[in-house]
Amino acid sequence: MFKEYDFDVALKVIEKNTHLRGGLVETLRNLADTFGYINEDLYPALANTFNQSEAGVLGIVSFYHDFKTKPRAKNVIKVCMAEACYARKSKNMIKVLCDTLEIDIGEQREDGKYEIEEVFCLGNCAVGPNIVVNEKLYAEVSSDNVKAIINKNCKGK
Amino acid sequence: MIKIYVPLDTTSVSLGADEVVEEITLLAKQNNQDIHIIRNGSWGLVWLETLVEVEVNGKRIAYGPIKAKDVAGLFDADFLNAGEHPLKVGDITKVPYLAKQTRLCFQRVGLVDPMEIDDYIKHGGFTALKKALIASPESLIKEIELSGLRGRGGAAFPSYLKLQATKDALADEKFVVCNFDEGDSGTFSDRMMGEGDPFMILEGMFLTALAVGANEGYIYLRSEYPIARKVLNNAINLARKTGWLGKNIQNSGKDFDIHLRIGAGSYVCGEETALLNSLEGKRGTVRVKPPFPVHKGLFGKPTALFNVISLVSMVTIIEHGGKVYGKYGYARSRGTCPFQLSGNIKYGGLVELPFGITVRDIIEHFGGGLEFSFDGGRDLKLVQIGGPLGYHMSKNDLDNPLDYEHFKTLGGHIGHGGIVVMGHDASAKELAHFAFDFCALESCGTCTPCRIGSRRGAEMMEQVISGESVNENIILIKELCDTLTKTSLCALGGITAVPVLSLIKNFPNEFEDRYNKYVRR
Repeated sequence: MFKEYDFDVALKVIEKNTHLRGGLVETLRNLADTFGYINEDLYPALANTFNQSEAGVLGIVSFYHDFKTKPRAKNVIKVCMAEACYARKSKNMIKVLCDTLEIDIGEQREDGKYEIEEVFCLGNCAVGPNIVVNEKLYAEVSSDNVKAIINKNCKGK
Repeated sequence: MIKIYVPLDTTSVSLGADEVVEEITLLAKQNNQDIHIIRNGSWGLVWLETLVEVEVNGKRIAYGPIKAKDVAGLFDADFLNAGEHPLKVGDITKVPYLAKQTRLCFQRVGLVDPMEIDDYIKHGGFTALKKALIASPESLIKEIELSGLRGRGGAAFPSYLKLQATKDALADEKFVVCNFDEGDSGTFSDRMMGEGDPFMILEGMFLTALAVGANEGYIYLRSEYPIARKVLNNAINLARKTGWLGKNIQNSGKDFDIHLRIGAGSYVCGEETALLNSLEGKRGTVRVKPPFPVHKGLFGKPTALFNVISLVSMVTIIEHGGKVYGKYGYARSRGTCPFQLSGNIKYGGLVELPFGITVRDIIEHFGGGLEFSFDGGRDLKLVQIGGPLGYHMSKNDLDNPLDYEHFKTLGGHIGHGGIVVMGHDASAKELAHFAFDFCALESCGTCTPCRIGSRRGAEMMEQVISGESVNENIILIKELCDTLTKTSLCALGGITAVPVLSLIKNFPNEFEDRYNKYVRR
């Protein structure tokens, strides 16, 4: 899903956004979209380009939930924790999901295969509970079908 | 060639619309049928998704809900010629759920192809803009004033005042910003608009720019909406190509361009000043007001910042006149609001109605009644209005009309129009805990009450849930709520008290010590 970190590509992304007004968040966004996380070795380049201190860059990276600082698992599963899904019994489903993958919400499994990320509202509230498996959104996920969805989408990775 | 409509809407896709399209394409090829599939927006009748519409003799015949496995059956039933099938819906606009609505903002969503600017123009798009290009900024603002439009993002601030102040501000450049950071759980109207009729948002932004004298606009879209991102990107590119964005638009001598920026998963960035900081590439922290964004907004310049629904409302207002729009509504809440029904409900979806309808009416006449239960459990226990930090009402409060002032007297707000129905398995204590926890997680950290208060609140609620010193904790929680309301910098901390206090008020027996002695989580 995400590419391995390639610093030439990463520097090109940074360079491409140099002219953007207030482009640091946008640049981090592009890096996160491509590689899944922000490699800290890029902080000096980011700081230079956007006229920030390295601490300033870290401050921005740490502020936003979407910007991770560690490599992502092979399969990233986002789970909606908000009330509309709660109203449709997401709790039971989440428990089955965590038990199946043997990790808790917000954790990455030691073998780097799975990671569960909590999100609040995917804008698909009328057909919840919702989960996103490797960028693909699934609606009406229940404790009965969650295992099948995971098996189908995470096979062979 | 037969036209077939299958939504590209997130909800439809999550229910398998892409697979349905694949299957239709495959079977049409096998049957030697010449078809053209148009990916439209969703009509907002969620239980019918994926809704497949076929154009027969100029009329659209709908079938739904369709899964990929049903497609072969549709071909057997000769759906390309409006054949009979158990899942046939017929004319979607005749379905009461849709027919009973007043669709002003969502007039074209579902109807048009969101990926084609020609289709938008064919269905009346840019009518308002053509009027605005020859009108004076004063007359545009006057029209908005006549309509009584108030910000649909949640704060309900009169839109014309915002326009007037931005117009009056002197600066070398001004901005229009579209707040597409729809973070409230239970809300999806912005998303449906962005996916179903993106050009209307662009038109609204350009109108605003004409009224205030801005030449540049930004859309701040949340990262959770990848399909809206794709559709909006395409819309902006098409508008640039066809001369509806860029320099000397339609030979009017006016310049305006729009940039799409993607957020990074922060709820507080839906607050206007935090959003501006994020657009500037900074931490999404809240700014102290004043100065207000209309004077010192994006990059320190005067900025007219509006929610998606406010912007599209302005398009209908300029198109039909402020008085026509202002005829709809209730008391000081004028016009229509796209309410979003979700949760433990039979017929979820988007319901655009004039203000003033009661919560009960909306649930009974649209949602399918109070008796429904999602999985055979028990029926309606509480309704949450206006997102995670909204008012939680019990069954007894359902007769309250949806009106800004009325909800204020209750101690709540309509917010972005999200209505989440919950059944009896929802726990008031858990929800109150969730409110504090959510505030703690999403707090930007600028002001102390929100940053620290939310965390202390969550800890106290944990104690209440486990039955420790319940009465003492409830007293402290009430005091904390008072502090949060009065001293927080922005609405995040300021309205965290709304769910907590409304839950304590409406479900007092769940917060009683006596109760906690016996029932533990």
